[in-house]
Amino acid sequence: MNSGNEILVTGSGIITALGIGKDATWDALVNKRSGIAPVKYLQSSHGEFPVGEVKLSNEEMRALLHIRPSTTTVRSSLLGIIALEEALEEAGIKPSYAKERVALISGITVGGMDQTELVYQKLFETETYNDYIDLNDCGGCTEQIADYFNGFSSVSTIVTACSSAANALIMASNMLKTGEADIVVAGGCECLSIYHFNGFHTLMILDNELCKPFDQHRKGINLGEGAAYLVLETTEHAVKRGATSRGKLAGACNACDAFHLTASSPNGIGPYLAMKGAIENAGLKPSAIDYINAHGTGTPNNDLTEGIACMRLFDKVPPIASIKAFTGHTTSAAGAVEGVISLLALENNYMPVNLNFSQQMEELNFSPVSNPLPKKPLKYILSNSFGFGGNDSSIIFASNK
Amino acid sequence: MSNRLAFIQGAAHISIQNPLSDEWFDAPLRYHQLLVPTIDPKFSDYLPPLVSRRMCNLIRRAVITSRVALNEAHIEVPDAIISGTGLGCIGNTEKFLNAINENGEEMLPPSYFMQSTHNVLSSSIAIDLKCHCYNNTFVHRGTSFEQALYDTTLILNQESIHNVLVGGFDEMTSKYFELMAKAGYWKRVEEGFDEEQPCFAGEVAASFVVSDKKTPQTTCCIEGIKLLYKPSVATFNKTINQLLAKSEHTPADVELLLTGINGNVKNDTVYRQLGLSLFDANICNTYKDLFGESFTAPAMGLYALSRCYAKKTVPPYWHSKNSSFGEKGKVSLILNHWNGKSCSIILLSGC
Repeated sequence: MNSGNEILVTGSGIITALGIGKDATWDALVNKRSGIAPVKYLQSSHGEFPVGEVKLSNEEMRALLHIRPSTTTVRSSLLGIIALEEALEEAGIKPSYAKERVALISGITVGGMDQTELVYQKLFETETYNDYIDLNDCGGCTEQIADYFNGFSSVSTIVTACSSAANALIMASNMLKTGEADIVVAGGCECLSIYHFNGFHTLMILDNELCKPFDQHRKGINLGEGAAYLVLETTEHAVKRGATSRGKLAGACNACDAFHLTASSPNGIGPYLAMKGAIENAGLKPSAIDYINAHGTGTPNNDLTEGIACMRLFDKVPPIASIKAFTGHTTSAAGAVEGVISLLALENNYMPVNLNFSQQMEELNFSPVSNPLPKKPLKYILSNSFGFGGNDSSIIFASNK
Repeated sequence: MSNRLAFIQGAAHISIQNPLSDEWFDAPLRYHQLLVPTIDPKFSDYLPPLVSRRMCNLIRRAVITSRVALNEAHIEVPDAIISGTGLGCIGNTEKFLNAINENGEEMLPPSYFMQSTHNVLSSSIAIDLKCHCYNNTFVHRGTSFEQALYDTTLILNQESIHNVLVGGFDEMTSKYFELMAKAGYWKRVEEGFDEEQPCFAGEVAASFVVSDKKTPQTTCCIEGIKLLYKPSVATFNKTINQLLAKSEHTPADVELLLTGINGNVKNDTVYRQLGLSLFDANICNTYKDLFGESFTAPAMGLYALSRCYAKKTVPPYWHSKNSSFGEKGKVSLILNHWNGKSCSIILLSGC
């Protein structure tokens, strides 16, 4: 690839159960401190399932953002604004920057359901909750985030469940390659809701203990919430405006399992095609991958499918880890949350480990990473996001060096 | 605009007009009610019961229009599937939410949940076609379909992508209709249909095959598409001019305009401010009076206009600049906004 046309990350922001911002996130990862805990903020009766909640109430987030009491908000927007603020600041995009060529793409699936589900009856009975109506659908949330920042040239919303943020990053890359924008900010946000907490529960894929990705005795997911955004631009543009590169988006691929609405196929064709396609898109061979940030949700189905797909693609599966026992499964935000974590890994030359692992899966010929120190400097990380509906996306992040 | 032109090779609809047909062209059904449901074809003519029974109606419509559009385009399996939807299968979402409220988080039916994530449409189409390629879904209010179409034009630049199946799908429930009425998008049930402000809610399912080259099946060419957010009038007009210039046209070449004017005052006022100043009022036409208002109504606008290009004429109730439509050197525009925030401009020409 022509080096003037590489896709650089010039800023990023994140908020998860590990804390606000990259520093807090990295501190938790290197100290192997999980953010999974008993339910505190979500008003669900399923208190026996631990979750990765952001340790702030909506009121606390509103106070941080100086949002007026008269403004109605939904939790996903608050998470999104906090993460986006860190990203724009690091990239040096001030409010005065001409927004004509800065686009926003955000992934979300829950929309404003966290509030809709609490006030549903009242929405029909009175007029005082009407503000929630325009915040219920996915685009409404993204617009609330965009409006906090004086707007963008265009604002788009992608909804592909657990691969939403990854697909936002892929679209951003495509927009930059075709000269459609100078800067694209892409990522995703998702808060917990009673709705999807119960959705996952009724599919019987939640673990009532800390999840065990890639473990023989894994039982399911810990749901999480969070947001992350990456500021992307071409090398040419970054150089022109004096922006610093934090890493690169070297390749990506979006593929479809086309098997079932929630379960993944036994042979993992979707995950296999996504990973293979991303590696080819980056002009690499599988042996170039130094570390895989797995989707690794901890369900019997996903980890088996993902594991099999890895064994099919790689002669020797490189160091691989899921960080979902740290953050929980941040669903629509995962592709960007784990993208930010992958970039931190490259920057610090350290592989976040796969927590809570004790026994290798009998079908697989590899165990996930427990030693974070790489044998050679990390250059390429493959990050997987495999969603309901067979929406499988993989992205390759590369270090600056 | 991406360097590649895009061509519509096939299209199909199931909407509030007679489905999978172009009877709307000469003999449109006219409605005077606030909420108009889809006229569905006989699903069993297209889907075996075992397949169909697991799908809600919106998914059935998405799968069927996809198959018909592909058939018309002489394509078996596309290289990508992209959908736009404003609310997804909102009926299922309501059912699951009601079940939670009634059962108190116990014994909930999983199928409603599984079919309520918006990407179930693109996913169901992929399962039906056994298509493992690029698969995406956009959910952004009134520009959901245009965002899917925009993504289509981005990925057609890729070597391996030649034919994209792109669609717009939305259903409306009586409950959600009530909420959108409260939010001011149309009259409330108790107010009744208003001939002076005739905005009404419809439902949409429209699929297109969009390709990177012209074939005998091509009906029209997508010369360009732009998405904008809260543009000033100046920016909006500038973007129209840029799109025209990029494809070597001028405003004088625009022979027809389609806008989302729907009879709702708040909505219509924005159109009168944006973009219309560049053109003669007598070439501005509407389509939401035919197909209803919906987050993905613009998919029906594109459908209708692509059929005009196929027929080389416009319906008797529309006006274009020239007596013969779609001649070389002439273009048309579809302009859309939602709440004056998310906007889209699509530039089309004949082939």
